[in-house]
Amino acid sequence: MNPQVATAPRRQKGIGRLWREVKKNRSPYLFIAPFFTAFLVFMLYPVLYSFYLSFHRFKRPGVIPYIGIRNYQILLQDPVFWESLKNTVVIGLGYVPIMLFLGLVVAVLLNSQYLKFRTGFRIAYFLPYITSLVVVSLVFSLIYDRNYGILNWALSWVGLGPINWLSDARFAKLSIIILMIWRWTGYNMVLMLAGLQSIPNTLYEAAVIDGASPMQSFFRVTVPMMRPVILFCSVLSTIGTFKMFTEPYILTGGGPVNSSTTVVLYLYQVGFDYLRFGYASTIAYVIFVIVLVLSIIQVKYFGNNDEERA
Amino acid sequence: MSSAAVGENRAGIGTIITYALLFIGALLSLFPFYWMFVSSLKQIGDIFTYPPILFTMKLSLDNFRQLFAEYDFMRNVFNSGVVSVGFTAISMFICTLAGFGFGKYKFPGKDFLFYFLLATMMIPIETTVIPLYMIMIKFGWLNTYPALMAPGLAYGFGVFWIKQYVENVPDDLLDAARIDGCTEFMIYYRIILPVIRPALAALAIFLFMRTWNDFLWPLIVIRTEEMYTIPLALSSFLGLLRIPYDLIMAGSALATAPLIIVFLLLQRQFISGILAGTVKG
Repeated sequence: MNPQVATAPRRQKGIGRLWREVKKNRSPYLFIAPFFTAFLVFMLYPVLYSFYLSFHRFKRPGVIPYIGIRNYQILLQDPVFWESLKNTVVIGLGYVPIMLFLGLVVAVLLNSQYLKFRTGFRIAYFLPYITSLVVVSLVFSLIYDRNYGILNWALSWVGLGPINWLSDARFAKLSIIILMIWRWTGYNMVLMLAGLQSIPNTLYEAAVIDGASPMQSFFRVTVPMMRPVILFCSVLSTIGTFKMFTEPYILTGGGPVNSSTTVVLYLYQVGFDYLRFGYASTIAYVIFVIVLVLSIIQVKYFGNNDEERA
Repeated sequence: MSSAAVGENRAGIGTIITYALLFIGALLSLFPFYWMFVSSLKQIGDIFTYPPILFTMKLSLDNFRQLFAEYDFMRNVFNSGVVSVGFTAISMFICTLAGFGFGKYKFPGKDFLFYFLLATMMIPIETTVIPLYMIMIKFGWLNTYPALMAPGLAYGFGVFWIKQYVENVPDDLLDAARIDGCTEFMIYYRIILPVIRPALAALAIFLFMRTWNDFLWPLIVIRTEEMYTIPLALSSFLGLLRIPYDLIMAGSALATAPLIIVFLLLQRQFISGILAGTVKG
């Protein structure tokens, strides 16, 4: 069909043959060339160079002595790094389950055909996701204000507080967790809504015939059928957690005393506050490996997410 | 029939509970937006009072006036606009071209290159900022628009997304065009692009939103106030001795309003673009 597709006789040899192939196929090569140029310069090279840097001490351009696995040894004994890793995991464990549960509940409620204002509800829940994280964090820092914040005012109605949300080490992580739940529930709800639509209605009809209450059919039909989607969402959110930067940077600056520093925030501080490019690259590679492992899990168990696409 | 009546009654209560839950959730979800817009119209003294003023008629556009008059916020809006529109346009061109190449041709190395591209979609940009920063220094691009736009061009996601749509374009359409004497590039321009237009809208929205809201990378490569994008300008207010939350909220409202408007107008494309974006994570 396609003139470019017809394969030439494969008799020629070596470079000459390769060159003829390239010339014969020059259209597709030209079409993908701009992308791969950007790709080589801004993706492949940085990934490789980052690996190289992680075994070096960067003093100034041109003076980059090799120091072996020294950076990795330092990393293992760096209390701030471990603290930031712990914070990241705690924040993740704090918001992911709640967010997934809320997302699923809202998706189930919105999935009913008889519901009115569905679009309106969907817009309301989804809006947090489209907003810039900087804006979100700034608005929340106003809401969290110790003396004038509306959250402490609301809590005072039930006799709680006032809580020093952003500068008390016990609450700094919690304030980030609340922000994350607020921002990501709607997004996960949309993913789950797509999943819900693939559950056959006959299952629910059978449950009703067997006398199941709505609660029972939620826990016995919906949750088991949605397991793949829930798992997919949880891996996705976990990957997102390991990339978290803006929320702690704006809300708490990682403080007080590193109680809300995340791994990427620490990477940023080491790299651009202390200008330790070699060591920062080591941190980057550890994050890279964590995200890679999570991504492989995701691809392995969930394919390339075809059914989720609208 | 008493059992039917009970069933109906239960359904009635269930419906009320459903609406109540959804309504409370929606209220919580929307409240920060309300608070942002209202605060942007309040004087700073009315923002910091206890108890907080939930409703007030004492609203004015003074904060916006001050933001533009004293801080040259227009410049920040301009920077964000140039970078987001510029990046989206360039990235769309590169992605659609490559997506066409991968979707409609066979050539040696195709599978290898494509899987390579897929594999690198997992790499978080956060982990490559150090070498990228050094590249920007080498290119002399620090504190320029190209620095803000260039690294994002290397993401394979857009290519992947376009390829799937291009594959569905019938080959007969392309062959007919070739018989009529179209060059391969004309096929791309005259046939592929118009046919996959819905996919383009979704991708454009996704790319624009990502660049408009981007923070970490601009924070690294931008050095002077006149080059600040909106998120940078807003976060820089936090460094002031007395943090002008009235102006911050005004700027936040300005940063958010365009996205909300586009979202309300193009809700379906928006959501499908964002769902597609999950492939990248």
